[in-house]
Amino acid sequence: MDLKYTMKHIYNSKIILLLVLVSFNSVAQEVMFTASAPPVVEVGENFRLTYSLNVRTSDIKLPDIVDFQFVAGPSTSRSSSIQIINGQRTENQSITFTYTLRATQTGSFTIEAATANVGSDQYQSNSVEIVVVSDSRGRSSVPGPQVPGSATRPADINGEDLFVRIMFDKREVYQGEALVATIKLFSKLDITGIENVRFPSFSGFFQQDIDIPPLRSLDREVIDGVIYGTGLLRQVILFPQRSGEISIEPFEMDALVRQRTPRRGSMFDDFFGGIETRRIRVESPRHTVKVKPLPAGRPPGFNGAVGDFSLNVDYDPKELTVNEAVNLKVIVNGRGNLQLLGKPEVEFPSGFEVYDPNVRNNIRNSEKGQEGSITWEYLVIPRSGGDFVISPVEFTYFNPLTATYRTLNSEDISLLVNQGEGDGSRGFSGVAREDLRIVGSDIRFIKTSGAILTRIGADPFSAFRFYLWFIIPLVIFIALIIIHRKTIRDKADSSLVKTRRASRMVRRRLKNAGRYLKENNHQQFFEEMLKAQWDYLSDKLLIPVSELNREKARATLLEKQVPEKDSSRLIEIIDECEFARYAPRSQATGMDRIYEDTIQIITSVEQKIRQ
Amino acid sequence: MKLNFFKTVFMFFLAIPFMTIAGTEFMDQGNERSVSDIQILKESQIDNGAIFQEANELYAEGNYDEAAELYKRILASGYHSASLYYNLGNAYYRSGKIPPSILNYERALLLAPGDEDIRSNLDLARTQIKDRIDEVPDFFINRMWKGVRDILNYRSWAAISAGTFISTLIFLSGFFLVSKVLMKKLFFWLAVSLFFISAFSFSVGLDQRNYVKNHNSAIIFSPVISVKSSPDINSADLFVLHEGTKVSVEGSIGDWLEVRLSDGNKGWLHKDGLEMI
Repeated sequence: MDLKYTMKHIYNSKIILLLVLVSFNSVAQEVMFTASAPPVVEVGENFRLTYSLNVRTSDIKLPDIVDFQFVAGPSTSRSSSIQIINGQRTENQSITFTYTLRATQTGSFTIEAATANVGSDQYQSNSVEIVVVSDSRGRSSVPGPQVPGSATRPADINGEDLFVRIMFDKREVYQGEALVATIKLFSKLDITGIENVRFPSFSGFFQQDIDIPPLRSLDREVIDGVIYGTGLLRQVILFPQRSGEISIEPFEMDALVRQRTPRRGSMFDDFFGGIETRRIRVESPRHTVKVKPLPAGRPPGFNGAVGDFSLNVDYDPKELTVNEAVNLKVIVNGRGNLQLLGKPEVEFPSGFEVYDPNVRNNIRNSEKGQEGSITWEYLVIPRSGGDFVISPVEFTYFNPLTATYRTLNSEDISLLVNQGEGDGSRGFSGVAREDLRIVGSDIRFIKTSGAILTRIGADPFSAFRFYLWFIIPLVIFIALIIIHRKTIRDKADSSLVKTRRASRMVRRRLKNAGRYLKENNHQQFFEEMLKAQWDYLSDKLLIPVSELNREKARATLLEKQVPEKDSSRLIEIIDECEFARYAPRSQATGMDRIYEDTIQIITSVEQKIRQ
Repeated sequence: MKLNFFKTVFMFFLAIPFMTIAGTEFMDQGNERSVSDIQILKESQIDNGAIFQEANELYAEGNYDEAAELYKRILASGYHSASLYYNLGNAYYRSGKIPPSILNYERALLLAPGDEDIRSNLDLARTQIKDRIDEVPDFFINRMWKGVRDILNYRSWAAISAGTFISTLIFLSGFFLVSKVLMKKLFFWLAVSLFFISAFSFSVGLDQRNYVKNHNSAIIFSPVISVKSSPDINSADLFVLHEGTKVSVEGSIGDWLEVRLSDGNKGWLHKDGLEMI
């Protein structure tokens, strides 16, 4: 009946043949034959064993089921769907056989595989394991939506029947280390729905949701020998952004619980079952997470990566000509706070034109944390030729497992950039001169010499010795000036003394000469006269005796404005005296006249020179 | 004989300026000092010189923290120089400590106001601080005066002043001793101009010295600090300053300092938050 008609068009050069192939669907698709049953049941509980098959058959053979009691079944349901997409028709169908079984004894049991015959082929289902636990609370409390008759009484509801938990995979994490929080519902009751859900805000964390299937039915889990229906409400990866004790608000929600109304003595009430839905507010306990700060000694390149990573640098091409583009990829791979990674710095030479990197994420969130890779793709265009070595890319992260910082280094990136053909390869004309480009600014280097150290607080202006440099020279200067002045005065003084002495001496000598004249001692007389005259001239005219002669004396006398006749007469007298001194006595005449004239001339010279 | 005496005196005077220049360093080192003091001083100079070289090598190798420690050791021994503060500032800058690097550049600048390297690094360090405060521009005559004043440090001005003063006296003595009229004129004018130079350098040096000694500036060391309206922890906050900013201190009460910013704002700060230059 449900045949599939597949049409294939086969084109030949001129003839078109239409072939209609009729076949069973099973030929075209793989047969899926699965068995399913709840993993955990209680003694006395009814549960379903379901076989589903994606081909149509009714010939299914169950294994021998000895550990469980058959209650009902099989009930069969079928579904089919037909899709036509772009003229392609696909058809899916399934058939489900459901048996209701009841557990009778505790233990772990296996239901062996069932066999289905489809056409001439035989298919085997999987086997199912079922754990049967003892009835914890009598027959009344069997959870799970699949047992509609098992609603509890309102009085029975307490914290053990219905609760929610936030579970963390770690109690203590480092700042930035991934932490998985799971919000789970545990219930022994028949829950028909949840409302007014309030998830905690997880402030202080960077959060990433893990994809979980939507909650349709509760799974069964045994906790301390008791069966709970559990539902995963949310799973989220948390990255603490600060250290310290971070408290997490409770999770809250309303659960809609189906319950049987209490019996009121009436048999109809009991039998027809007043079943009502109650709204129960549940709240998880409050949690705190201890976040440890990252240990000291972080390397300079560290910018917050926590986890376990590997670094890969790839670039292409390795050899190129000027103005061609290089694609350089920096890939960080691993597990950790990938989404929070800062980009690793790549230091390109200054002649390179660098565009902002293109970031590609390939990140998976799972209950193990955040895994995947981030790729930074740089497009770089070298504008000048040469053999460049770009220093290795550095990536530093903190590994919370070993509690150490690690720095990864890529290999050296070497690029051979050919100058291209001709030197006009720059693409623009003109002189290829560049302005001095300030590539970066940095402090200047230290001074390595010329450090004359001085005492702190030394200050010439407040030191007395500084002023000595002014005072001492000034004193010397003043002293020098005083000495200079004094010597000049002394010089003047000594000539005064001499002239005074000259007058006094000449007077005495003339007196002596007068005595010799009276005694007529002409030799002594002339000698005395000569002495008187020469000494007088020397002292009076301030001419040293060694330099004194007639010409000099006459010139000096003229200078001092002594009349011509007086000076000539004086020279004459000196000549006469010198002559007469060695002459015989008879020729010594005119002694009186010589004496008189000398006194007269000296008196006149005295008068002239005094002024 | 008399002539010889004057010659000797004249030569002595001529020698004084050279002695002055040679003695500047010596003179700077302090006030009254005995011979043994000077010997100790010379030994520690040699010692400090070795430390300085060692610190420079450490800096060149990139051990900035260790280099800074050595520079500080020299300072602890009681000696300083512009280069020393400058290098220490560099070491701090390299290890990322901006406020102490600014502090040391400022100190270096006080000792060598005309040094271009210090200014350049100080400007660069200032770009790293958070506060941007508009400076009230100086009157242009003041700016010119400062420009001239800051060519040399005040020690050099003092030495120049002393040297030119002595030269003035030499030429003045020449003026008195020489009898030739032309020479007399020459010596006189030389003496007059040298005297003016001496007086000028003296006043410039004194002005700079007063600026250096009495300018009460400080650098903020706290990462963030609130400037209060009165010297009281509970008084109102006026504005917030960040580390590295320079303020001038105008007064103090107890542990509180009255500070003024370069834009004219005033307020009170607790003295723990800043460091005097």
